[in-house]
Amino acid sequence: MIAQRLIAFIPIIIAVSILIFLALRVVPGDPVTVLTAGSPVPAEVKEQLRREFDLDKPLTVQFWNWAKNAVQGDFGISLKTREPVTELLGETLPITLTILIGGLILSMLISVPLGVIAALRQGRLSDQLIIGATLVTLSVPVFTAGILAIIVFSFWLGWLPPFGRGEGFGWDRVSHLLMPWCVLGLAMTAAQTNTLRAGMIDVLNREYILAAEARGLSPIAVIRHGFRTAMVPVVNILGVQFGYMIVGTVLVDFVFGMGGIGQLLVDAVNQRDYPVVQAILVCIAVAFTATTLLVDIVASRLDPRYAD
Amino acid sequence: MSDPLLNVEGLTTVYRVGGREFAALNDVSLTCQAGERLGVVGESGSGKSVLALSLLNIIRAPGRITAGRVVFADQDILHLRRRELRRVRGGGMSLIFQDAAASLTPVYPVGVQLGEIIRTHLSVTRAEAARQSVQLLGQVGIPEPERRLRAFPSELSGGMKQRVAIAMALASEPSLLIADDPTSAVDVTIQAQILELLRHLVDERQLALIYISHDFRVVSTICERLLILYAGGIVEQGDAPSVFNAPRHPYTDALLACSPSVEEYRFPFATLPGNPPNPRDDPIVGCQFHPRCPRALDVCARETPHEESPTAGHSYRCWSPLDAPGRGSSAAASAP
Repeated sequence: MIAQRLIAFIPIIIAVSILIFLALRVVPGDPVTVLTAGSPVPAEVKEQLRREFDLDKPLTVQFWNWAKNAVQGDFGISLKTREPVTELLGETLPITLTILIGGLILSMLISVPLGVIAALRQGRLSDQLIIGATLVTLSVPVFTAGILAIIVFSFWLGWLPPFGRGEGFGWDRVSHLLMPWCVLGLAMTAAQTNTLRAGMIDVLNREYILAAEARGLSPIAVIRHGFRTAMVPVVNILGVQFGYMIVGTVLVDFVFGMGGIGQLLVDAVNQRDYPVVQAILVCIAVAFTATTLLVDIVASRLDPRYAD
Repeated sequence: MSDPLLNVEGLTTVYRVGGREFAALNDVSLTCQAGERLGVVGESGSGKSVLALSLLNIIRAPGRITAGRVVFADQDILHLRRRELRRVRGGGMSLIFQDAAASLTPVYPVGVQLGEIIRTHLSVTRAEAARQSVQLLGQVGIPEPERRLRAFPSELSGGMKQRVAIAMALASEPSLLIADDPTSAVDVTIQAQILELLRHLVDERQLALIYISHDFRVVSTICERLLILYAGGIVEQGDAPSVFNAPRHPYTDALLACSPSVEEYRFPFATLPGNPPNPRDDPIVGCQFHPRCPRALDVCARETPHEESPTAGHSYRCWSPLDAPGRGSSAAASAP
């Protein structure tokens, strides 16, 4: 099943790449203007630049050349800085992934216990408090939360550095990542907690939970019998949230000056730096498709009936 | 006689339906000796499943047990601490659910679920639990038990699931098995097999059995003593041959007339007119059965009948019982 899905990937990625490629050509603005920084240059120079960047060739040839190199990990060079795009990605992607995965783990660490407790205490005060608290985190935009966090933890309390990505693998790095993780993680907690709560409430009413109790299993064992089934919708939500998280990381990147892929993308779009934008979008598309596959694999591991 | 294994007195379980309380189980008393096989018969809605769950003190909201005592192996089930109650559930009394498919957790393989029960109730190693699981699956007639340990419930047929459910009920080595209509959700051909299996297992392990069913004939083939449940109350009880051959309560008589048998196949099937009391209606005063009873007297609508026991081992609650010898009239059943 996984192999089949992986093969199905290829046409999707090709289609998405073509779309991105075309969309970027249709957007107004001449790459040559970017290359010459808008200053008047002789026509011969323009021609030479066009040739250098393949811009004089038909779109099909341009795409073929780009795709051929992209498959080998070469996304061309940035129009703005003349650096290889692959190098730019190498500098920015790891920090973005670190924020993304850290935020995800953090949000799960918060939402799993909260969701289960809320379901077990359905309708009671603790349930209402949990729902209320998650709604608050949902209502605060990521950039507002980020700026608030910087004001409180960096300027008032002075505990954490406000900007930058830190160095090494020790406290310096963690101290820089802590706020981005929390801000991104909290933004995702609401949907996860509420999905898990609803799933747990549904599952706990099933007969096999009653049966597990009737067989004398401990309360924790009984909850475990329902947990996996209740987690399936949460994992699915994570797949949907992934898109939202990319926007989230772009914002987090920006607020905390992490120098991740978000900042790179915003700059590249502003400057019409086609090769960079194209490479980032394709990367996101690949990550997106991979996530859907991953979601399906995890879900069917959790609940064998999921595959049907 | 020594103390019975299970002694139930005045057990009453109430459900809140539409803002009013409804007694799903009303003043039920029964005893079950060690190794005895007790049959509980009633139509749907008579409180059969509520009885099974009440015995384990596992009634969920909006229901609750409001009165009575359940004493099992000298333990007061309704006032046990949670930890001790868990030990009784499964360990002392085991329940086989009506719908095996719904009572198995879909996300764990059969072996994991069996092993978990064994290790909860018996202090054995993981390897020993696995060995016992294989043995149990073999005993309930599942071919290739080692392989089936890794199967998820969804990969098994209906009959297999019921067998697995039986294995789970036996895994904790209980002394009382409560079977809540375990054959109602499977094919007729499987029914006979499951019934035979249960009979064999109960014999072999000398378990007490409470077999709850809507099917008079199924129950009377396997049980020594019968209890007839109507609208949450026991209307008649006694030794199986006595109740089966000479019912005293008109409801029992009607039920018997409604159970089709191969020997006297009639079509259309006899039916019992009317419905059991609806929880949403006003409570019925007097005998719960009187609105449907062909033998009802004036007193039936005023006063609840007392328990009468003219012969040892047979008692009923009726103001207007059928005559003692032979089968009474089957007027209660109409064949439209």
